[in-house]
Amino acid sequence: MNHMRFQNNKALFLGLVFVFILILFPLPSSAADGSLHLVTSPLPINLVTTPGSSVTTPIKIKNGGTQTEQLKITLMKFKAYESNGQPQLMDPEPTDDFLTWASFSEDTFTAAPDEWKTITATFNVPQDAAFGYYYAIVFSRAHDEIPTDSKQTAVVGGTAVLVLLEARVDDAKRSVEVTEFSTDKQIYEFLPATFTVKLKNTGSVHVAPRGNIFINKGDEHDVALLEINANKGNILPNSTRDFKEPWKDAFPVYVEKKQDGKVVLDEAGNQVMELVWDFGQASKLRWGKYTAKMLLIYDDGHRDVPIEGEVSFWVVPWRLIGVGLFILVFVLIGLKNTLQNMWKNVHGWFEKK
Amino acid sequence: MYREISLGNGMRKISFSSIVVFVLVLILPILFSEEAHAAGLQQAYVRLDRLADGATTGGMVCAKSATASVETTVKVTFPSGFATVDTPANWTVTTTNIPADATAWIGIGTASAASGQDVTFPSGDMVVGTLYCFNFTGTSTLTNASAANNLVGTITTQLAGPTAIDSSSYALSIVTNDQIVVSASVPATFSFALSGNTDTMGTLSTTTASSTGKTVTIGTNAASGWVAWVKSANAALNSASTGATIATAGTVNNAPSDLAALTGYVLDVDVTTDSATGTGSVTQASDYGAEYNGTNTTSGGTLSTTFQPIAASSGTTDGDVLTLIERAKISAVQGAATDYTDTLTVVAAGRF
Repeated sequence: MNHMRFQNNKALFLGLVFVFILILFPLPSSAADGSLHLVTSPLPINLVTTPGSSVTTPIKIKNGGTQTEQLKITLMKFKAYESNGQPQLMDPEPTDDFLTWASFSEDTFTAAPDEWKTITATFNVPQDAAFGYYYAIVFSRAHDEIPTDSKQTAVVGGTAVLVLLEARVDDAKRSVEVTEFSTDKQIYEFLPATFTVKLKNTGSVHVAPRGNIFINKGDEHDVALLEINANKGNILPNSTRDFKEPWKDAFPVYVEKKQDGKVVLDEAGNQVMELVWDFGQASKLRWGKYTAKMLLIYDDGHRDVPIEGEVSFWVVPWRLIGVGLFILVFVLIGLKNTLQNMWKNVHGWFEKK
Repeated sequence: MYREISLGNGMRKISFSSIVVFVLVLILPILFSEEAHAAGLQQAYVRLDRLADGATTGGMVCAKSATASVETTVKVTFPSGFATVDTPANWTVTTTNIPADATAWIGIGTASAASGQDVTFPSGDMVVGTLYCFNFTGTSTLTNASAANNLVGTITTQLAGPTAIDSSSYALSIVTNDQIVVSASVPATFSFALSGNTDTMGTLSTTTASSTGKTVTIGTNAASGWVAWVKSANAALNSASTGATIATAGTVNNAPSDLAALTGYVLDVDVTTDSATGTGSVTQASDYGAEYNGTNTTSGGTLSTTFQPIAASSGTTDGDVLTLIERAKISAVQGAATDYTDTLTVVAAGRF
């Protein structure tokens, strides 16, 4: 009996201690609705180091929600799809030794609402490392609750910071080839004309080529100048990246239809375009044959290497031409009738004489 | 003692005292005369646009007349050490942005003379007690002296002749550096917001059931835009209690699966908002999101246990919104259970 009483008192005591600890040190609470709002900076991160050395970078993360969050860091990797160069997020695989090179000042941490935390990422690059390594550092809730109610699915989320790490070695190959330089149409009624530049990285490390498209019309040079990859986006090895650049400095011109601060989409999710007639730009009526010359450069580690391409297209504003011809025909008919009447009058006058 | 001086020839005699008075009248003004001086202006200052050592500058000249007269010119004498360009036509003027208590200098115009430290501008008749101001251009006119304090110049109003009417000194200080370079940087940021961590599917049946949907809102100033991926824990809805499974429908092949003709479990990702603010456009392109671009209420993409792209944007945005809707349709023989569930993991990132 006494033993039971002792056990009960002990359980009660431990329970009280537990409640007391919970009151003093409450667990970080997630938003009641499960929402999560994270902000990261900077992005992406480009790091260059030499084999056998280490490199660090700060990564800032903010809890943009209204509740304190306990967050964790998960390390993943990414590569680029061969076909379009877009990033492909991938879970780690056992052979991914390079993921073990990375460490963080904190793997899990607590962030109050609107609090910025700075996490230092360190990459200890071994002596035998070479070329490029691509990390995705994912921040997410440390203990996301799995739904216990029936008829529900769980949706968990995270934000990733992509890190491109180059272990610089002398025998790295940097090489880029143009696989396509084209326009989306051969003949346009009105601009924009969208240029597609497909570049394939045939080297062993990521590169960021950039340059211009010069648009000429006959002997008239540099009618327009477009920038390609002005933001220095990288192309990963063994992948092709598309760069699309519209030429829209024209009159009239199709632009994205916008409403209430949103781009208007059709049922298929495509952007709805509308023709805009800004008569202040009337001098930019485009017509005739145009030739676009592309000149890009990239650094092969020794010098800037040029890449060139050329494509031609036509702009035929057929509706404007039709209206013009229609008016011209009427003018000519009117002129002909006027001259005929004048001739008749003169002829009649001479006959009377 | 009264004496008269006879002038003879019948002329009237003049007293000696008269002569003394006459001589005094002639001499005293000479003895007690003072040099004529212009009066001081009631207020006078020059405010330069730049105060840096050796900087080319324009400035503002202000003065308040003290003497009632008819001004025709104003002469500004710059302190020694200032370099002036002796081309009057360069010294153009304006009367904009002058102090609130000042009046545009009456009759002011391009300088009529510029020589040495003196630059003379035309002026109209100034009203005594009124503060007049004008600006002279900084283009090919004045270059500041070396850095020093109390560099004194003068402003003189003149009437035709020219004759000084009012004149006052002003002082300037020249410094080695008069500008503060403000620099700032805006780091690239990426904002990711998920509206909740559970999504209710409801009761599944032989017609397509859809979840209420959860939104992912993405904002970034990254010039290359953003990408988003999703993966499923099971690529199926699993019942832990019965072990039953509702497998995902179709295959990942760039085309959504329509549950109107199939049974299974899919995910539809709708571009709810493609923000008009920013340079980016949201796309679900071939090989990059087209799989999940369901265009009706029964379609969606095949789920995978590896990350699959669901949408991407080509540039900056202040808030693109994706809505994730799970859809499921079962066969008539699907095992009964109340705990079919799956976990979707959504990750988004700024592009490299």
